Amino acid sequence: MRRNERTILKSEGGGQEYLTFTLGKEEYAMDILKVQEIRGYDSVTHIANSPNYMKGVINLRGVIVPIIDLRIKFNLEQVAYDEFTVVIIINILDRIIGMVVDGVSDVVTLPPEQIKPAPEFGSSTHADYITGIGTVNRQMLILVDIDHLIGSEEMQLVEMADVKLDLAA
Amino acid sequence: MDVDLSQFYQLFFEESAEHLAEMERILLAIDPADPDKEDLNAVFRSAHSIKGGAGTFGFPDMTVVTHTLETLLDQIRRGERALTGEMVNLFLQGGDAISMQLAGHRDGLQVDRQFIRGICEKLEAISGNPLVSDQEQSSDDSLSAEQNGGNTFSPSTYRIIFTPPPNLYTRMVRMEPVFDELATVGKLILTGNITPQGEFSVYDPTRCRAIWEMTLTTDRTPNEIADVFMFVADEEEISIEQLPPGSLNGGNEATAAGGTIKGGRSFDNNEITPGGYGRRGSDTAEASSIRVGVVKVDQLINQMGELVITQAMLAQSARQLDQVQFENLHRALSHLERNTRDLQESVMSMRMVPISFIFSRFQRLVHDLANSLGKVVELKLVGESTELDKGLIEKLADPLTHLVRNCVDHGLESPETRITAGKSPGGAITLKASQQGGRVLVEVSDDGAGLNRVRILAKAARNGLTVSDAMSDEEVWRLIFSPGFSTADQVTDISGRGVGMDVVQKNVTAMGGRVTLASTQGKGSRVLISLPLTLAILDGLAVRVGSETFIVPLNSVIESLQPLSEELNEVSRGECTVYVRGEYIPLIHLGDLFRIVGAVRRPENAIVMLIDAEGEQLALLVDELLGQHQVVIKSLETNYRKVAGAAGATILGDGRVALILDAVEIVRLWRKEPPHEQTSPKNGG
Repeated sequence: MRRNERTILKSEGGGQEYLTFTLGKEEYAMDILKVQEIRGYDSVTHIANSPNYMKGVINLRGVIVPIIDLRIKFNLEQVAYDEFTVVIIINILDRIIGMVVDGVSDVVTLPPEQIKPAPEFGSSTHADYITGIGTVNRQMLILVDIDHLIGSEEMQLVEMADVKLDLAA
Repeated sequence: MDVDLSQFYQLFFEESAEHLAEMERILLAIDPADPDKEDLNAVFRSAHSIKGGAGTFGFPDMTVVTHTLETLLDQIRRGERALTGEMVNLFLQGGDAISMQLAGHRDGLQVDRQFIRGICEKLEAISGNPLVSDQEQSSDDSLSAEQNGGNTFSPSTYRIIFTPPPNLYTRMVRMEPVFDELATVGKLILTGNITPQGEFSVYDPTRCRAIWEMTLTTDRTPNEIADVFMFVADEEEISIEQLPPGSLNGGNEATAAGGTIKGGRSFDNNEITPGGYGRRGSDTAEASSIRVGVVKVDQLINQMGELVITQAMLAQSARQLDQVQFENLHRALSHLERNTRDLQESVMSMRMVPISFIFSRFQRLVHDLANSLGKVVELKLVGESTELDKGLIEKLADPLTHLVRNCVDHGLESPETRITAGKSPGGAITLKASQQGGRVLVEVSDDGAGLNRVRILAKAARNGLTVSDAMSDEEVWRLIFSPGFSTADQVTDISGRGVGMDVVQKNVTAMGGRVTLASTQGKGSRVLISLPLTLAILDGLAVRVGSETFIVPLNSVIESLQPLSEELNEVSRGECTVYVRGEYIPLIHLGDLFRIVGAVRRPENAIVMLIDAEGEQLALLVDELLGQHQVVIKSLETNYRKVAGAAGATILGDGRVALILDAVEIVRLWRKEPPHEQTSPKNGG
């Protein structure tokens, strides 16, 4: 029933559905259509000489999937791996990638009028990937452009054409 | 009952492409002075099959070209005209024209009508009278030939009823040739029943309303009769029944004249030779194969990989169970293992294609290039039956084309130069494939002038590359692979190789292959491409370093040993060699290279694994050997990126991911990295 209401809302108000997740104390939201599944954190196979937030790769039903820890990427202080640690498996840019977050909270619908432009964060590195700030029940949600974040050169997840040449040289 | 033909287009395109390839292959091999009759027939059949298909599927432009081809071919195979080299060239160009049209219909590519018309005109000029074929039998004659009684010795009489779909004519199908053909195989009585529908004013002449009823007395089988209809009718539209002997006079005769409707066809009589239609080649070799989409095969291979992993998991869990108590289970599992391996082999073989698949196309390329450059070139193919993964074969086509083109263009000298140099005027290019262990070697060699060391060095210097005269030949040849060497004007400049050699190298590397080049001044040059047999599976040795497991491809492992301390020599800080049978071999700490915490530090307490990296011997230090496995190679690039030192990854029996190491990459990685200081030995062992 809720599902139906939401669908109607979406078609009438043009609102989009977001999956909200927590990183430290902050509440983030991403486009739910990019989410493939949510699973617990398993042991990973480490990849040498990769950035610290790149945890390694896992076997997801026969597919090798890289796992990145957004908490490390976003410079959070406390990074623990326990039975509550959650991995959001996302499907973007024709790739499947796992993101470690502190927890997954809810699915919300945000009509455009509830989204405000992101304020200037100054020099913070991840400000580029924030598309706006949403408010649900007076709680602030940071909207993340996940394609932009994962696809960015800085992330080193997607191979740039010249990286390969560099290796071959 | 309109049939949507578009669903069959793809099939038609594929088949036509195959027929064209077949035509070309034969034409290139044919000796104009003494053509083999069977070859001519085969070419004719290919052209004819394309024509039939094109007619059925409504591509009249293709029908026209194939028809002109066929007319001349027919004259030649009947011995009415002698084959000449010029004709062979024309036929080849005709094949090109059809390919172009085919591509036009399939991919919407531009078709050069001028070129096509030019070829048709040339063909027609030779065949003299292109519009009327000599052996034509007047169709009206045979149609109206009412013959009573099956009184000849022919064994059976059939009643054939053909109920065509109303769109028969708009599909460009003509019935006369079919009837002609039937008339030639026996005694034919033809009745056309036309059922008028509606007012004459609304009568649509383009719709076929006729039902043809035929009585045929022949010694052919019903299947052979059905074959005559293969280009015009679906199976369900034809009914063939055998009549009891003597029943022929039963009053089925009707006037055949006027039984056929000739109006409403959208292309004219000139386009089809009567009698040519509906005939079909007798070879049925293709009946034993079946066409399956690559996607389906790939899916099967993926699922096979999953099965192998599941089987390994099962085996691992069962190992903890008591051998005696669970004897049946263990026996069944060992059966499962064997069956899985057999199945895997069969599945993998489905992707394997003989390399002749691409080798064969070079005959044409060399033929054309040599002609245009005024050179005499013989292409030798060796080891064409070597099998290689289909995915690799396709990717290999471009680099090989590049190399062969280079050979003809720059490698081989002109006949005059060759004679001056004391060689035979005709140059030779050899394409050779062979399998060596888990790799396939493809060699492109020529007996031309070879590379010019001095000029390459000069060119490289001008391009700003660091060179010196002291460089070895191999180092000089390697310069060619640098991107700076790849534009056309530079090539004429150095008059050597270098057209896109960097591209060749890049493509081959992307396939997990390697390129090496050898050259002797005045004697020729040789490019060797070494490729993995398949991209999907590998025999590997599982090793443990710290808590990580790696797979080392078995074909790069020479031996493993536990070194004694006196065999180990520290060369410099952190650098170490191991002395094996009179040789000092550099030792690579895998644990250091991959920054693994907890790896064994002291080589005496670990295992040294000798590996072969492109002819170079190196020693890898690992903690433990875990065993030999056949692993399914999974790409890291699919979702992540290339990992330095790794050829890919695989999934182990416990479901974990392990990296597959690449010996050459490991060495490269190790050379690039200064041996970094380890603060303190983490595990003294």
